[in-house]
Amino acid sequence: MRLAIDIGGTFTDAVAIDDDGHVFTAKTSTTPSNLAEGVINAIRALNVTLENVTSFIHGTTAGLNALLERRGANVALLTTRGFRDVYAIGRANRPEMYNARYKRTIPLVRRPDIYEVNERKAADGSVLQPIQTEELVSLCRKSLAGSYEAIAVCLLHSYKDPAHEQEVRNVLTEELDGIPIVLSSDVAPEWREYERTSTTVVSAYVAPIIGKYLSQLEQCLEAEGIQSPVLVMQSNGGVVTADVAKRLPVQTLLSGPVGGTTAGVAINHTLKSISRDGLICIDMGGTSFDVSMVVNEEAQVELESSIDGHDLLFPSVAIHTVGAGGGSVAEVVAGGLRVGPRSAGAMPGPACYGRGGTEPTVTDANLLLGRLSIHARLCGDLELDSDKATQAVTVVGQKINMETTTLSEGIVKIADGNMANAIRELTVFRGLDPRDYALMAFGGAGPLHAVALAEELEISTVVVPAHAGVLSAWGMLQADYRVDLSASHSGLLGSLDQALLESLSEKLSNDAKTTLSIEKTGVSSHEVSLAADLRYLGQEYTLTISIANFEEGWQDALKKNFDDAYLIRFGHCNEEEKVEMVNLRVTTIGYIQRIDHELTRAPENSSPISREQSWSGNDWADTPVYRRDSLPSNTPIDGPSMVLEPNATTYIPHGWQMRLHELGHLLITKYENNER
Amino acid sequence: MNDFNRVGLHADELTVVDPITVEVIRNSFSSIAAQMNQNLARSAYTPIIYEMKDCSVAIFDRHIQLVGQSSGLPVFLGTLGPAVEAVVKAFNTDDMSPGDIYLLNDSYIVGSHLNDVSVLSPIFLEDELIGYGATKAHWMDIGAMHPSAATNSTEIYQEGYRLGPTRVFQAGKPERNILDFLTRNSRLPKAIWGDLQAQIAACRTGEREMGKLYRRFGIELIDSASNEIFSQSEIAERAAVSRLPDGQWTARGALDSWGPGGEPVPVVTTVTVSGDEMHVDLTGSSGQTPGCLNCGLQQTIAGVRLAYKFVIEPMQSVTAGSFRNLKISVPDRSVFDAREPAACQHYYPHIGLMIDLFLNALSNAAPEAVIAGQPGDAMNIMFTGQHPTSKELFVSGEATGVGWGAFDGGDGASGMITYGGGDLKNFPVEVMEYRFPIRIHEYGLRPDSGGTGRWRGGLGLIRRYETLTDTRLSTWFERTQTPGRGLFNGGDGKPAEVTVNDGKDCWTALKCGNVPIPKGTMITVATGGGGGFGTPNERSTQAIEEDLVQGYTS
Repeated sequence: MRLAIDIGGTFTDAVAIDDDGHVFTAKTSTTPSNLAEGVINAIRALNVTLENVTSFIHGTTAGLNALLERRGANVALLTTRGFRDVYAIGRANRPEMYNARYKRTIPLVRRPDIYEVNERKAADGSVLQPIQTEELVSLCRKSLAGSYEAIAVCLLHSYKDPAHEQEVRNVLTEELDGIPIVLSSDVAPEWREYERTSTTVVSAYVAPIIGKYLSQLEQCLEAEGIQSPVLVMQSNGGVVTADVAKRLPVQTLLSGPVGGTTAGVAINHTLKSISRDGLICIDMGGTSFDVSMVVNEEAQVELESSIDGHDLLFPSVAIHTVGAGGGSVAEVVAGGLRVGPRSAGAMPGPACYGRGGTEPTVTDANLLLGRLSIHARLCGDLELDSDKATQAVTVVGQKINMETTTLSEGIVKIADGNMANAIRELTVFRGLDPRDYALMAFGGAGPLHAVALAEELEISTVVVPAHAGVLSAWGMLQADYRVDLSASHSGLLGSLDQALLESLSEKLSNDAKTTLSIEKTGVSSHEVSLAADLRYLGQEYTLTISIANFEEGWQDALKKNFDDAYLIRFGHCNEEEKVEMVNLRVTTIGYIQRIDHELTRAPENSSPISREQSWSGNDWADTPVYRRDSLPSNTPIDGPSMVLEPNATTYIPHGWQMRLHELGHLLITKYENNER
Repeated sequence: MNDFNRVGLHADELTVVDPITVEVIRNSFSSIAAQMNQNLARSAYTPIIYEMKDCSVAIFDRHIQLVGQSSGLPVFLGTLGPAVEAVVKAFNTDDMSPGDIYLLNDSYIVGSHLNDVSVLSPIFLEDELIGYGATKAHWMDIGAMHPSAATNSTEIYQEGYRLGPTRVFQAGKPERNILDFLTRNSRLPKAIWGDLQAQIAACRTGEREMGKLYRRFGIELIDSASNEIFSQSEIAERAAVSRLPDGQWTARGALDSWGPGGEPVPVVTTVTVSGDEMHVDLTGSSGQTPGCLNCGLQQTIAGVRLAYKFVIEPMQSVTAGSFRNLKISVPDRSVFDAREPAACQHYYPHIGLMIDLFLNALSNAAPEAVIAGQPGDAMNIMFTGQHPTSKELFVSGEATGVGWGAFDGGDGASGMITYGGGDLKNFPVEVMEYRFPIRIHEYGLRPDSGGTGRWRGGLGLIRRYETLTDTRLSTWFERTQTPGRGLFNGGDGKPAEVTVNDGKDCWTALKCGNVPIPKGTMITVATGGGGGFGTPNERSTQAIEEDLVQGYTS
């Protein structure tokens, strides 16, 4: 049996699949003061025999919360002499350009806790000033010992040659008592000193917390009788053992949210025929709308990201967030109607929650349009108050002279427009055509808006996945082992040093295999893939292009693939220009044994639980309401109709048709076939 | 005197569109501009565009009314309109076809220096003209008297090729003779070719996405919606201005010089608030200078709008309806409205000072809405020479952050790019040392450089360079005469200092142009700090102690 746990802000979700394909799910409250306790509660709620668990996969917000709430470790930072303030200065930019009072995120390490070391390397990695052991020893004894919980080390040009940082680690390990020492050349061996420093500091900041949490969890699990090793979900969409996660904690920061995208990868794999190129995954909750992509069978990964103003330099699943959710507030500004990004949040929440909210939200508008059934229960077991929603929408309607239903429809339309723009910015801008993708919707409000978004983006198929309520946890069960390593290697295509690159690739592959500890984890097979970060000579931003092999002509092939990819991405390319390589990337994936014959329950009763009226654009239409667990497989049902499940409602408008796939996914397609 | 006032066009002939459609269209325009800007910045060739964001994009409807914009640099706020107008005037719209691309850089038309090249395209829906996509980006070398930029020019003719409205692509076909001229007369032909391609690609993105939007909603409906959008901007801005008390305030200052060895350059900014209207008058400011410190009128208009935007509705997007209640008066042939043959290489320093003075003047009306002064200049340093290994020309130009003014409720930000710079990023030490024969020995905050006050001014920066080959140096560090001024008894920030030490001589070089310096020279740059806000003895003991612990003060 495989078991996965996803800790979210409110709920801790558990999913298990046994060897016969039986699926068990549970949802319990998150226990912020002691997260492991909530994990154990969720496991117990599954009601399964724990001795049979062969893998235990975990997505945790322990590190992310510590970062966001600033409860991380007391960190000292060691830098090259003369560069103490690199971390505080950042890139000297001001993203909010008309805000004269813009302030950067407050650094995680204060200035007095940053120590300059006498040493210097040149840009080619050669030593200008050697490091002095005695100086480090006295620094340890005088200032570091006993004063800090973790040490971050980022020396200039260490991406090129890590020797000085490694010397620092050797001395510090001797002198300091077992506290984590994080080297920039380990966490982010890439150029640009500020971004590398920031990544290293964040890593040191969360290291003790994640380490402690994982150790505690391992003990609790053992006490419960789980013998299997603990695997941890990483931001890159793969899993690693807890030992590796303790060593590279920064890579687990986004381990929760990426579960939805890994679920997308798995569903895309089993439902290949529903789209040409992949899935657009949308997760809409109360305050935010997250978009991620599955392109050519893989989750789309980006090399740089930023969490709450902390810049991070390592591969993570690209998740684009905009402020649009069920709680987005509609208001009149300068005579125009605005929806979001301000949100009513959970408190007071939408007016229809009856918790004191008086401003109309997207959820209120949906309720008044009949797209949320009166039988729907949001936030657990909340009865929706449509009188309060009507009142809130009407007040705004009076200001701009609009009737309540028309305004409700408009509020939803504006929210849909904003979400569609977010999807366009993520696809069209990257040279991807949304029409080549299917839309996978989850989260409380995702399935409600999915078909409208598909309509606007001319997408012909929508999937509301099985286990939509615990999708991230289910997705974690589908994740393979993954380790991404990179090394800086610069040179021009056509004159790259092949022997050097091959030996570098081999070294990185071996490092990755060691990190995966393939022998111990019992993966069925593994695959190593190589890629190069390339750019036209003189440019800054790179595209990552995979290297198939080092056989004759490989550099020419790489050049051509780069030109092609550049053309798709930017609409122009320059075949005559030289192409420069910057980094070598090695991705090692260890494939897990999947259980892909999930059993689904036969419905007891397939008739609608009620019939309601929903607004179809110009009139009220009779709308049957089904319970998801009572839908028969492979029977087409026309819209307008609604499907309820414990934490979400799917609305199928007129002109669309749904059917339940035998694996439990709800497929919704455009009525008049899917022709373009 | 140039009196510049926006007027709304043909508001009468329009149908009423529901607020829903208006909002959907408004958000789509912003989204299209954002996509264009991303495409430009991500595929550009030169660091000054991709890293420093020295670029800007905008989309216009067929009446050349701004519907969406996304600036790399805020100081380019709305300077693309005059570029489109000039092109339309030169080439009748009847002669334009789908696939056309036009460019121009004349400082007297677009306002900024010749390096900033505007590239734009008309957008058609089938055969009908529906609007324009426009971009502006800094080209690294356009054949000026010195590599990259003229450093001590006295006439615009020394600053590189000057282009009026010029068609470079006709119906999708390149005008090869013009493209040849552009690259043949540049010291960095590959860079400008690549950047031109990136600008064209951004225009094409705009064409494609605007086409989709117009196809969906139709021209008439979008016209009506646009008018509604403009009116929303106008209503919001008028309401914000009318919240300020009526009155007239003047602030005066001076730049150190119009160039190495030059005279000081006075700048006077008078702000009048009257009901929901604001008037900014620059009368009393210097005439156009004999050096290269000048700009065209359009750059001044953009600069005043930026100053206004810092106070009026900073979070709302700019449209053709913005600034309708802002009147701008600029004296003829002044440093703010230069005419032939004035040189315009340094088009920004007097704009930065004007923004500072604008905020200073308004502090009388709205202490809570402004910030104390800052050394509002880009603090430019440039090294050029022959790279010892590649033997090719190298050009390293960068701007340096300054300390920002404190405000009611907060200390000023330290080491951040000046007003006009926005998302402009510094040059990483590791990238710089990899690319250029330069070593950096120090990069840090400059303690004690922020003005004292209840709220302390932000700190300037220190950056120390060593040349690893024989190099030419150009610097432009301003504002020792009018430093970052304190407000309400707050102290002034420390002014900038630049020293050059070649082992034999040590000299100060706040401003120098293309000066040869030998290998092994140390150049230390210290930028100025921001002004403090409020009486220093009202600063909390806790804040004073924290400054000492952090080493911000000694």
